[in-house]
Amino acid sequence: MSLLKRRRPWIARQGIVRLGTANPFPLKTPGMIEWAIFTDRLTRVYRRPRSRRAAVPANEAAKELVALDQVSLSVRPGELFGLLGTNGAGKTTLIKILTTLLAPTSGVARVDGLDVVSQAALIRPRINMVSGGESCGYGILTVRETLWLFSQLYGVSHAEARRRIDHMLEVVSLRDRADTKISHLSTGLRQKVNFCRGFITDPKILFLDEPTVGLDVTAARAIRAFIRDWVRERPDRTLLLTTHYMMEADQLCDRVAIIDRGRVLAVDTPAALKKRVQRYPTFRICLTPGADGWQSLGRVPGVHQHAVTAGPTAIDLKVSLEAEAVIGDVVQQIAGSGARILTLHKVEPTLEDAFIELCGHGLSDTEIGE
Amino acid sequence: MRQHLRAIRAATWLGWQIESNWTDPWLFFLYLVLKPLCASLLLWCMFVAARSMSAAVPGELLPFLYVGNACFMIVGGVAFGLSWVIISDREHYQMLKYIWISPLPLRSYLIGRALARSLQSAVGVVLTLAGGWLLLPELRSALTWERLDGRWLVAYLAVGVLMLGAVGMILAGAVLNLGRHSMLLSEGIAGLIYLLSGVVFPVEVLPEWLRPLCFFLPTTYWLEGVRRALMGGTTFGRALEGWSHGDLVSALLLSTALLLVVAHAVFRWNEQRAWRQGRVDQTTGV
Amino acid sequence: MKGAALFLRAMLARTYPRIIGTVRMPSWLLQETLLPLLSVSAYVFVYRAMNAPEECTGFVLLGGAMAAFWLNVLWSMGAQLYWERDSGNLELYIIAPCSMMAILGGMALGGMLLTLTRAAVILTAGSLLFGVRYHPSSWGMLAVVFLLTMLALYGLGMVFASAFLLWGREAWHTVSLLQEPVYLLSGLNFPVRAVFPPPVAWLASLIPLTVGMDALRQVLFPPSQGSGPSIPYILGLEAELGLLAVLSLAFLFLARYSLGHLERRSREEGRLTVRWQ
Repeated sequence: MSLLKRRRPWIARQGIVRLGTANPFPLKTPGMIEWAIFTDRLTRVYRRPRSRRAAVPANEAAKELVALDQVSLSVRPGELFGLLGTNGAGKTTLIKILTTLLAPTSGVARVDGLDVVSQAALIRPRINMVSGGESCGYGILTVRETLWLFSQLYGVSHAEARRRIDHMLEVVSLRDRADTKISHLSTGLRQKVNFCRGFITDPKILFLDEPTVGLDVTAARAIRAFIRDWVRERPDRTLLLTTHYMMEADQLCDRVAIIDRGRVLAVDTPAALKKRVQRYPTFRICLTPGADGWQSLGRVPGVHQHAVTAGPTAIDLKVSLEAEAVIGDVVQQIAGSGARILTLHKVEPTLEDAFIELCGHGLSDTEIGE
Repeated sequence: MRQHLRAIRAATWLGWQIESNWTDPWLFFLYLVLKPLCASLLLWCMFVAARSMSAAVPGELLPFLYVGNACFMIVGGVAFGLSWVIISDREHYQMLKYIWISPLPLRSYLIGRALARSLQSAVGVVLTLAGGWLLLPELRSALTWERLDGRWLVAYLAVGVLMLGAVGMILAGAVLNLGRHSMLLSEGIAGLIYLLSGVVFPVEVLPEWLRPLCFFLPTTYWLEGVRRALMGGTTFGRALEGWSHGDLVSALLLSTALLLVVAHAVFRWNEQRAWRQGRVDQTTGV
Repeated sequence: MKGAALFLRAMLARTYPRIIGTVRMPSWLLQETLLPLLSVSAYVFVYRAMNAPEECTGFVLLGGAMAAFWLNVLWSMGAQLYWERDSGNLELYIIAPCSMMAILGGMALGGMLLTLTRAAVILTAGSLLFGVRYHPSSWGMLAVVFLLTMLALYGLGMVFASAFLLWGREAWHTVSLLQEPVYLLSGLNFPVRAVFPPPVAWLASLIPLTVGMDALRQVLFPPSQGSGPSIPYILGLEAELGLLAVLSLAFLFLARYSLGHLERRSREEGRLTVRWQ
């Protein structure tokens, strides 16, 4: 107790940390995976200064703000893992803790098997971080000089740094601006330089916080493709990505954690998450106006639910079934009653549907101040 | 007019928050007192050290330089506060672009922000003079109610604020078209004014070839006038011996009128230039 | 990569923007030479108005040159972390495997080029303009005193820098607040003992600038110089050298401790990434 108090006085003062308890998830036991990123009941509480408490409405003026609440996650080496959540959900707080920028209030966080509190210095050579929408370095330096500067902080040799810088500038189509001063670049181009900075140190574990935010469609697409290739290139590379672009998470990530108000609500592959929201296969059928074959659909065996929207030009029918094969009987029933089917297609769930189902609100509905 | 006043009021409030809300009031008060007082006491230390080494040190120099140094704070607050606002709002807070596109008149906003800094300087001047009065017997005998000429002091302060505001506006305009290191310009002008306006020594100590420059600076007349209004009659300097209060104020009024016209034109021209060259939202940080 | 090699690499890399900045923005040179010369000249004329002995002009020039190092320590090391945090670089330095001492060392080294230029210009141009002559009792001693003063001063600068990890605008103002009182206590333009009683002078000797300048004055203006005035000093030269050595070690150790301690506290309180504070 006294040792911990000396090392982490603030945490000990709060009395939140579980002092002396054994880790229920030992990092590595024979036959078990060594996680690239591992958190167990990780919590971060921000204390509001008294002065700031007075500035917010009484119902919000709590002494503390729980940014992360008992977050438990395990990311395998080689995995491209996504964190999906609204602004203020706790994604950036989690990244800050994992990149040794912020201390947890309680719980455990390990990166490449090392504790973020006591072994921060050992973690740093293995990681890097890119925050989207930000730039790095000094306006007076050129793009190449900026990237060289940051490579030196990681001890990369000059020749290797040069090779990596050239490669990365090629990836983000900035080769022709290599000798332009940062102060002369647009915001988007500065962001690209910052993106390159994250990769030139060849980290084992990379944290990308909204990497494509603010970039144009072509640049974002190129960056997504590069991210995917970078992880696949070597099996020991791991990437943790936060985003609020559903499509990005769906396209890139092996697994996704949905995080809301500091809590992890679900962790699974994007496909499995989507499947969760749609237990019953759903079809959308469009009929000619005035048709009435749909009225007896409820009596067809295997039809779970159906809903109708009648418009002046067509009737829109949404049918969920207990099994996909039942669609044949449904079509037969409609055709038999004399109605004409204009279109028919299967409704695929999106990650956004899964998000709404789990959180109870969309990505743009809620913003929580940190 | 109402819009201008509203802009000034809002900007003054904002300026005061930026200047003061970084700490507890007591530390802010300490900051307000200690910094200027120490800068002025540094001159007192030089005076004491010189006296310990030479018997020829004139005693009446101490009130001259102490009061001059204290009053120079107003020059700094008003004249250089404006250009500092441009730099901090553009480079640090990155708010200048939003002010630019808002219906607030930029000039009024700048005046408001500078007003907060000037208020801080004015408080600094009063506290420095009060501190000096309490600590230094030489100053106690020089600053008395009998010697104080309130009416002329008000006149000098009123014209002085206008004159320094005009200088500040010219500098702010220039800084609008320069980078972060354009504070160099303000600092350079401040250094020149400090050296050539007879702030801490009479201008006749300067080499002969430099002296004519002193009489081109309105600050020379302003400082001489304020010193006379505070300490009564003539002061240690002999260069403006033959000038009455009326002469000094007339010279100040004339130069202030000229400066105001120039400031208006220079600022307007620089505003247009900054807009054309895209410098309103440039950041040049390194 | 070995710790020492990484330290050196990181330090030299952080030196680079400062050096290249000087080359690409020559206005800095103007700012660092001409402007200080203006204020130094003003102080020289103050002594002239007082009919003070010629040595006093030398004190002003020495003070002007040494103030350059003090300002570099305050603003280019301490306060620089405030700008680094606002521009988003601080967090990148923190998560990098190199030591923060290397980053700060790089800032100091980079700033040293400009500072040395500034100090040299003040001393040479000032001496030429005002006809000051120096008769150092020993060049070797002069170099030792100067180097020890620098070590102690930059150690103190690193302590300030660590404070910036925790405090933002507050630290900026605190450093600004320190500027003039330190000028006053360290005897920027005058011998401390000629003004302050011994207890105040001894207390002021805890600031490396005070004891460093006092020792430099002893070497540059030795009493054997002839019919000059007798100048009182805080301690003897050897004692001041000893004190400087102790201060250098103490501040460097304190810097190492406080950087680690305050970085940890900043991480706990989440202050490393707060901006526009």
